[in-house]
Amino acid sequence: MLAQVIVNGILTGFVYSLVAVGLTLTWGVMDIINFAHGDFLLWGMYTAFGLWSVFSVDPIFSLPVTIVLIFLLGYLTYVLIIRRVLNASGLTALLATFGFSMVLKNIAQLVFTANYKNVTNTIFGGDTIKLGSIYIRHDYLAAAIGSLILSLLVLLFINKTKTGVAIKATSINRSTAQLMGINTDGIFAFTFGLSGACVGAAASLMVPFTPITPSSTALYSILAFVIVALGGFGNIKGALLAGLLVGVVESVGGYLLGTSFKYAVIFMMYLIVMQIRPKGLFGW
Amino acid sequence: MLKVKNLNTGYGNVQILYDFSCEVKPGEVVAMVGSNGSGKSTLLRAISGIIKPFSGEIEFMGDRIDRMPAHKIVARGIAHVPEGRQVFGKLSVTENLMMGAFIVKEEEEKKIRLQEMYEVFPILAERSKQAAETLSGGEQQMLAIARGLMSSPKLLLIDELSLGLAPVLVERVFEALNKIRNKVTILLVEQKVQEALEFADRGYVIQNGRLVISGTGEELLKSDIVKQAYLGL
Repeated sequence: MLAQVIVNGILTGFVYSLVAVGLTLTWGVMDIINFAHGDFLLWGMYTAFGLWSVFSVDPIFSLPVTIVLIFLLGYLTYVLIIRRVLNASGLTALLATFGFSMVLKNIAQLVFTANYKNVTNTIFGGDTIKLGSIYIRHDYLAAAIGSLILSLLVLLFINKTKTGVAIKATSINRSTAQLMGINTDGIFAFTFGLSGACVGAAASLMVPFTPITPSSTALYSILAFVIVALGGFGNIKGALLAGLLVGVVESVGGYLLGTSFKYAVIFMMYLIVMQIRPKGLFGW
Repeated sequence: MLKVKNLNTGYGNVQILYDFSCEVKPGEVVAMVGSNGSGKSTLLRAISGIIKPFSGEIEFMGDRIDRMPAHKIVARGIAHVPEGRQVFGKLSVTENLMMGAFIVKEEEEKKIRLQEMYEVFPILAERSKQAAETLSGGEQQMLAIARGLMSSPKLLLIDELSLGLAPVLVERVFEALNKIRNKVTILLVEQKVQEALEFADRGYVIQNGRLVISGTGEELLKSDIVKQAYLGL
């Protein structure tokens, strides 16, 4: 039974990782706390739901659409909102994203109402694979594998491509990056888009097993903040591993102490780790 | 090549440079000397577009560049080696150099330049895989200069070459500069007045944001104002 619980935790953990990788791009790399991150996820899920309910598009095929649309949402969020407050004092950028988060959430409620929406009868459906005594649901497995692949692609992109290294250079020293001929404003906009693309993908992967309501992504958003802090700010590999850790701790904690305590276990772990390693488990 | 006309600039409401004019001709090495806080670095930041002028003009190769964003000025052929080296500490030496060639499109061209830099600065080849922050101060200064050269600039701006370096290292960095001086025009900002003026073809002396005197390196070294104020003779 414990093996089953751990496997479930790992599968959820991969999805947490992808959401957190998106957040670590904006928070760790650009030093902007984006409170609307969870609402990007929400809009990704409603997009997948809309395509499924109106055009009968299976979420696995709407994946490219949600990636592109939420990339644009992230890009425009930077261009229309963040850029204006980037050099303002103190908490201005943070408050701006907080306000935008409420706007996104309330528009979702206006359009889709607060009722739960479910995407059902998907390709990966509720079927299971049986490995010994462990059952693995197809849709969980697809979400986990998809999330892992996309997280690794982002990692590869940041470390190996010219634009990726330019993103790192900009995060280390913005004005020196400008002296290299890097358009740092463009880099910021693109990074915000990339962050959106991560949650856009996560949204399509999650909808087969996640009921959607305007508040259903709040938890993912909070967990993403915990994961980014645990993994070390701006550290994509760290976010990937910390996501897995949180997934497993949640699952095992819930099994041992009862489901109502599973988040208490995560946040206790977070508090303890922060006392010992304030820069996160894999921080610089 | 570079003409600065009646430049007034500074940070926010604080004016640093007053009515400053100077010129750099192709192939020259020009030194801006003056004490700490005199406005030398501010001049370089204005030229490379990191800060904007309050008034006045900056002209490069016949075009006004004083309203351009910094990244476009690099593409015009001005590279800036900033004060305090400012290497990208978490990136490797090679990655730092590649960022210096960010505006270069052809991958082949970049590799050729990388090899050239490794020939001029052999120590960087030895350390190519290391994170830049693990290099010594002198090595980081070499890296910063090499990174500036990676864009094959027409004009290289170098800010405080000697800052935080032991005298023997300062000498070595000047030796490295000597190897490249006939390939690129250099505008140098320096607190070490003697070394800078000996190295440069021409120089300008700045005090409190204003131009005091200009002339060839030799003339300035012989002038009373430089002797009294900077060389303590």
